[in-house]
Formats: sequence, structure tokens, C-alpha cells
Amino acid sequence: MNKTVAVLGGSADAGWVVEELLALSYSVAWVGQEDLPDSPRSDGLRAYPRSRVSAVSGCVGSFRLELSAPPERAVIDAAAIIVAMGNQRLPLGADARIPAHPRVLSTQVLAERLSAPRQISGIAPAQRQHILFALDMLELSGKQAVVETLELALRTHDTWHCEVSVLYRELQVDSDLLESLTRTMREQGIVFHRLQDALPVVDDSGVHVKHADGVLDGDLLVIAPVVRPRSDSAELAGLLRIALGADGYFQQLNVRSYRPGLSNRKGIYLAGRCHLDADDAGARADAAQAAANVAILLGQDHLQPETVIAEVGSTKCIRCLTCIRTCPHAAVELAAYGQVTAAKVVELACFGCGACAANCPVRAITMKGIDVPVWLQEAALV
Amino acid sequence: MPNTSVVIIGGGISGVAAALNLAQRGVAVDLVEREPRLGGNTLDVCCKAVNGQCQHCGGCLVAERLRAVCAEPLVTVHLSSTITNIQPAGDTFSYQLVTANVKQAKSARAVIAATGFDHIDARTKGPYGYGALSMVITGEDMERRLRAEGQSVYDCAVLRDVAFIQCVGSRDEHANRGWCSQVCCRYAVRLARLLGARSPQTNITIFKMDIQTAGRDSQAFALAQQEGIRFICGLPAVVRRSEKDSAKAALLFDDINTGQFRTNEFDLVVLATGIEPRSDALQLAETLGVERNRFGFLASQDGAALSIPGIFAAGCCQSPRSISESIVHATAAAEACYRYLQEHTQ
Amino acid sequence: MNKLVIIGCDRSAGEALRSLQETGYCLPEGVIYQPLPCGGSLDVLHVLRALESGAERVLVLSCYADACRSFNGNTWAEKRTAAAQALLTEAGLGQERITYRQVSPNMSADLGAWIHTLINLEPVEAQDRA
Ligand SMILES: Cc1cc2nc3c(=O)[nH]c(=O)nc-3n(C[C@H](O)[C@H](O)[C@H](O)COP(=O)(O)OP(=O)(O)OC[C@H]3O[C@@H](n4cnc5c(N)ncnc54)[C@H](O)[C@@H]3O)c2cc1C
Ligand code: SF4
Ligand code: SF4
Ligand code: SF4
Ligand code: SF4
Repeated sequence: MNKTVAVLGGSADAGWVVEELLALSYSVAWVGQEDLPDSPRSDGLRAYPRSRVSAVSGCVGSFRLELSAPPERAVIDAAAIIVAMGNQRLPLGADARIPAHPRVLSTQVLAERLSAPRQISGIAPAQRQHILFALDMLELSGKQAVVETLELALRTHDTWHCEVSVLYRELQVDSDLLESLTRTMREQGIVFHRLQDALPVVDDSGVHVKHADGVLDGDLLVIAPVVRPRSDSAELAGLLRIALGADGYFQQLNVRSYRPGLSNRKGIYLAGRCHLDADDAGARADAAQAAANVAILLGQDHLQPETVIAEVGSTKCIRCLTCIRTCPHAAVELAAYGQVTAAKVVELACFGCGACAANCPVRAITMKGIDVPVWLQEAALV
Repeated sequence: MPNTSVVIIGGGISGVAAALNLAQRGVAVDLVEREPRLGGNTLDVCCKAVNGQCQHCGGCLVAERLRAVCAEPLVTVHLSSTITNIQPAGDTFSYQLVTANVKQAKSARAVIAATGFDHIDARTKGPYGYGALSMVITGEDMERRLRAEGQSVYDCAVLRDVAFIQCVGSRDEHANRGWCSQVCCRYAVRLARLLGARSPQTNITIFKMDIQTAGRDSQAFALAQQEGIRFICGLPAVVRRSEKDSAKAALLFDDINTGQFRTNEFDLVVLATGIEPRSDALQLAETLGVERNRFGFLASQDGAALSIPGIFAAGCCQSPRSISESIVHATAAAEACYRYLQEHTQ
Repeated sequence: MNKLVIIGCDRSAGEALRSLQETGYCLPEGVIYQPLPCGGSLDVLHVLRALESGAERVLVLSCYADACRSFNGNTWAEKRTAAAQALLTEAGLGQERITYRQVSPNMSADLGAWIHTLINLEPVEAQDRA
């Protein structure tokens, strides 16, 4: 069996997945639309930077991905696919409710100023300045954004020795890292205030933000980034025939598939922040989970179908395509049976859920291996 | 990987998930559970679906894994058993498997600790009156009762006002209990919604510090607010028996909006207790020779590896986690263990 | 006591029943559990055949929304149960003979209670057509 795994996405999440897979001695084909982050040099790794997937065929054990990467086209044969595209961060100007003003900055701009030797804009960092950091200003910041913003607030306090306050709605402390970070910050004199549902007011005298105990006045307001699913998620989901959730992240929010990182198709797995809100530590653990999913799949000598699977009676089939539309696992396709064309179940891809059989208008599909006794099955009445 | 075996201490969901992962990849596992059943604390987690909609509590992830591990030929389950005397012996560890006072000498190439957690005893928070006031219960009690008696147990109770108090026994730096238990916000908000849906005449108030909402599955908090569940910032100072009605509890709390102390009365008070290290965690750490962090959880170096090579931790014995997070962590522990075996087996 | 056929998704109803049985519970006489791999494979015929074969009542069980491994098996099960109920009503047989419930693996207590209630209900009288 071919043991190449295709990893899709140029994010840090994908980097961790690649690392995990290489450590388990799988061959990896790493495809990203951008330049790929540095990765361990390895004979097992083939990188396809600045490439996009243009077509996908096959099923678990034998996927074929076609890439369009100017100037040449490439084809990858992979036994399994891991999607790890990451998420995207909205630029600060994306929401008109945040006033555009030199006193209002993104964390990224502040980080640049912090490392620059001198002030860049007109507002000088000075000891008497009061810098406000806002989490969850308009909507909940993602977990990683919270970690980064808090770290940045602490670094600002340490570097500029200025007054620092943090505004939040519900302070996230549910990991070792965050709890110890917020503790250190409080010990250093950084003050935390709970945001009220009001937008900041900015004028030449400063920024003014309402919080639970009054109004906080500061000189600069630094706003934590907002994370969103990547805008090209839908396109890739379409090519791979996997589901997107109502919120635009990969896979519906379903308790049986969410944290194990399963997609609706066999052999396609999800890792990191394209399906999950996580900080770096969480995304790393998720990468290990994705690699484990693959290792369990490919650890078998040869792939076995489930004990119960669907089978189409090609002579009964009227090619209405109902089963292709209803199969939640994209396991049915049209195929040629000698002279005739009819629906065909891809055995390795079938979960045996029976949705196709129960929906077929002419009862052309039977479930192989099912133990429903004859007395319940026989067409009697109707 | 033939002739390698790993011993996993603890058959809760973490131990089971780690065992499944290793076995499916050809590693033989001895899964050692002290109780007569697998499952650990997850056996008390109830279903919190409301109005036909799952709330992603994670309860559904357990049963099929427990059954799968029993059917796995490479996993030997030892119930009502524990292990003692772990000694590194070259590349392996020797230990004694103790089943009902019968000792058996065994060895393993690696060890995974998955011994889980103890429920926080709500009596440690004396002013809340747990144990003395009958209308004060814990989240653990409520989960257990819903699981054992069914989702309808609170339907007929005449509950006009119910309060949840968060962080009971957690996030209390002065008592050296500065950790967040991570699960109690999630289960309390979900239980509150369940109660609200099953008994619409009940008014529900949640006293909290910060609701831990991050993540894609955080709609429960938003929905709870829409459904009229009241969230109050700040935890009550004391819970007493009401002077007007002895069946009720009176909660004294600092109202942030008015800046004054207020008293409200409730028919039922649920203390959202969380996760603490097992009472015998020190003993386990000494048996294994590994370190603990300042709160008493096993201290990991990097994800799941402990301070001695070849010994790993999975799930709540290392840090508080939910079921799904425990499964992910256990999988990562199994991964790290598998890689360790690869490097140490020629 | 009534004969009862339970047709359920084995991932939820089956797990709930098995954990009930682990605590020493036995299905009462006259109660049959028929597993399906997923609620999505429920066929209206299964329900009708169960009634035809002498069951007084049928209980159809599937997962909660967002807890079905095949994503919408539970919606199919609910729809088909409704269709079976409609057929019964049309035949004047009383749709109360068919019950649909959602269940999760850790709702064994609820499952036990439903079974108890259903087998102790008065049999449904065949109604005259309106
Ligand atoms: C009140 C409450 C409600 C919760 N509700 C939810 C919820 O709704 N959703 C959710 O996802 N999570 C919930 N959780 C968290 C959930 O219970 C844990 O995530 C889960 O139980 C962790 O599993 P574990 O295997 O790590 O530990 P445990 O469940 O504690 O299992 C550890 C196992 O190890 C065994 N063991 C211990 N020591 C030894 C030894 N020395 N030798 C042999 N065996 C040993 C124990 O007997 C036990 O079976 C809740 C927690 C609490 C406190
Ligand atoms: S639903 Fe039935 S008839 Fe229609 S394409 Fe599928 S097998 Fe053929
Ligand atoms: S049984 Fe039918 S609907 Fe279900 S996965 Fe298989 S082909 Fe798809
Ligand atoms: S995940 Fe929890 S709430 Fe959802 S169905 Fe399962 S047990 Fe119920
Ligand atoms: S999860 Fe919520 S209730 Fe529990 S300790 Fe953390 S903040 Fe407090």
C-alpha cells in the first residue's frame, strides 16, 4: 500500500503535522498556497509551495490530487489527506465600528513599535503613558490571540515601563499557560477590567473605554485580532467533498467527529485551527491526534471495509442520483457496469449508515452484512 | 512492534484512549484499573442535550471506546487491580501487578499514568454550607443523579429559583488552589440550560468569575444568555438557611451594579466543583519517581512526557481537562510513547 | 404487558441498553431490541413489519442532532417514523403505537423508564376512520 500522506495548508499547524508524520516515517507531500514554513529536511518530505489543489479523485488508500502550480502541474498519489490550513486574522480596519485613529492599533503594529529602536508615529512611548489592551472588543478573540495579546501586554509593560491595563469580557484562564500568565501580569501591577458593552471613544485627549467600574482613559488602545475561517476553506471543502460547518470552519460541529478531528470522509482528517479554536499548545496536540488517526489507518496491512456496507443492484438502479446526494460520507459515485451505468458504492469509503438504501426510490440498494432479521425487512404491506 | 508491552495505570477514558491507540498500532498493553469497571469519572457524566440538540458535552465519546478496548486482542484489562514497585531495569520497567492481594511480577517497556482526578470536596468551602444545608448540592451530585435516574429527575421538583456558584474549590490562590478546573463552567452552563428547558418556570442564576467560553463549541454560553439565564459577576460570600423559609437558601453577594451587598433566596444551590489531584497522587508520583507541579498534578516536560524517560502521563492526572481533551491528550501521550518505543527497540 | 419492539441506532440506543444490562437489567419478556447501524437506515417498512408481527408498540430511537456519526441519520429516523405514524393514522390504527425518542449512550436510566412506561400502557384501540 502507498503510504504517502498529503498535508494541505501552509500554516504552522501544518508544519507540526508534517513533523509528526515524518517522525512516524511516513512520506509526506506538503502543499501550500503560500511559501511553506521551514521544515525539517527529510527524504520523506516533498514540498509543493505556492500550489493549489485543482482536482481530487479516488478514495481512502488511493487519493489522487492534481495541483496547479505554475509553471508545471503536479500529481500526488496519497493514501490519506490531512487538512491543516489554519485560520485567518482580520485586519483592524475590517470592522467599521472600531474608530480609525492613530491611537488605535492592532497588536501587530504595537509589536513592531515595541521592537523598533525609536518611536515610529507621532505618539512617543513614555513612562507616563497608559496603554489599554482590549480582548474580545467586538467578538471573542480566538484562544491564540488571547495568549499573544496578554504576552504582548506584559512585554510592553516590561519594555516601556508604562501603565498597562487589560480589558476583557470573560477572561480565558482555562489552560496552565493562561492562568500563570495572568497571575504574573497582576503581580507586575497590570490591571484587568471587565468591558462594558460600549465602543471605545477616541479623541485628541486619548482613548476612553467603559468598563464595569467606570471609564478607563488611556493614550493608546491595542485591539486583539479577530480570527475567522480562511476564505478559501469552502473551495477546498468542495474539491475534497468534505463538509463545512455553519460557522465556516471545516466539518459540522458534531461531537463524534469534532475533537477526534475526523471529516465526513474516510481517509481525510482535520488538524489545527481550520476546524478548532486553539492556542499553539492545543494545535500541536491536535497535530499529534491527526497523525495518530493516519497511523491507525495506515498501520493496517491492507484496508478493510466496514462490516456493514451498502451495495447497489445495478440492474434496478434508475440513476436518479438520490443516493449520491444523500450519502453523508461521499461514498457513492456513478460507474459503468459493463454496458450500463449505475450508482456504485465505494466499499472502502462506506460507513454502512444505510441512508442511501432507505432513500433509494426503487430499493436498488441493499445493506451487506446487516443483521436486521428477515421478518423486519421483507416488503409486506404497502 | 512485537514483544513490546506498555502498562497503563488507570482505566478511565484517558487510559482507554491511550490503550486503543497503542493496540491499534501493534503494541501490547496491560490496562490496570483499580475499580471493578472501566470508565472512571466519566461514568457519572450525564447527557445534557436540550430540545433535541446535543450540547457537545463529550459524554457520547465514552461508551464505544470502552467497548472497543475490551474487544481489542492486544489489550489485557486487569480490573480491581493496581501496580506497585515500579523499577527501571535497563530499557524496561519491572513492576508488580496486584489483583485482590495476589501479586504478580511483570515488566513493560514504557509506562503511561492515567490515574485521573478526585472531585473537589465542596466542604473545603465551608461558608457555602455543603453537607449542612440540604438544598446545597454539587455539580457532581447533579450529574450523578441525572445519569443514574434519567433526565426527568428534576422535572417534578418545584424549583422556582436555582443558583449555580462557579469555581468552588478552584481558582483560589490563597488556599493554594490556584488552578482553573476547566470543566465546571462548561458543565454548569449546560446543566443550567438543561434544567431551564425541562422546567421553564425555573429562574436560573449563575454566579461566576469568568465563564470559560473559548472554542468553537462555545455557543452554549451565548444560548444560555439568550434563554434568560442570569449571569452575575462575583461569587457569593456565604450561603445560609433562609430566615423566612427554612427550605430555602439565602445567598449573600456583592452586587457589582449597585456596589452593595444583597441577599437572594434560592430553592436549590449547585456548587460547581471541579477537579483536584487524586488523594494518592503523591504516592503514585513516588512509586513512579516522577515530579509533580505546585498544585500536585503530575508535572510534564513537554506535552505528555514526565521527568523520567519512558514514563508518560495522559488526561486529568496531568492537568484538568474535559473528556474530548483527555482523549486528545491521551492520544498524544500514546504517540510520544510509541515514538519512544521506536527509538528504544532495535 | 404489551409486546414492544425497539428499533434503534446501535451507537446510542445500543450502548445505552448495554450499559443498562451491565447493571443487571434484563429486557422484560416481550420486548425485542433490533439494532440498526445508524438511524439513517430506518425504513418505514421496519416499523410496519414490527407492528404486523404482533408488537403492540414500536419505539424508534436515534441520536440527538449533532451527535450522529453520520451527521443526519437522526433526522431521517424522525422523518420516517413520522411517515409510519401517518400511515397508521390513515389506516385508523392509532399513531400512538409508534414512539420516537432521541437518546444518547449515557441515558440508560431514561431508556429503562421509557420501556417500563410503554409496556404498561393500555393497548391502543383500533379507531374508526373519521
Ligand atoms: C463534576 C464534573 C462534571 C464533569 N462533566 C464533564 C462533562 O460534562 N463533559 C466532559 O467532557 N467532561 C466532564 N468532566 C471531566 C471528566 O470527568 C474528565 O475529563 C474525565 O473523567 C477524565 O478522564 P481520566 O481518564 O483522565 O480520569 P478518571 O476519569 O479519573 O479516570 C482515572 C481512572 O484511573 C483509576 N485509577 C486511579 N488511580 C489508580 C491506581 N493507582 N491504580 C489503578 N487505577 C487507578 C481510577 O479508578 C479511574 O478509573 C466533569 C468533571 C467533573 C468533576
Ligand atoms: S438512489 Fe437508487 S435508483 Fe437512485 S441512483 Fe441511487 S441506487 Fe440508483
Ligand atoms: S451506507 Fe450508503 S449512505 Fe451510508 S456511507 Fe455507505 S454509501 Fe453512504
Ligand atoms: S455529547 Fe453529551 S449532550 Fe451530546 S448527546 Fe452526547 S451525552 Fe448528550
Ligand atoms: S472552569 Fe469555570 S468554574 Fe471551573 S474553575 Fe475555571 S473558571 Fe471556575
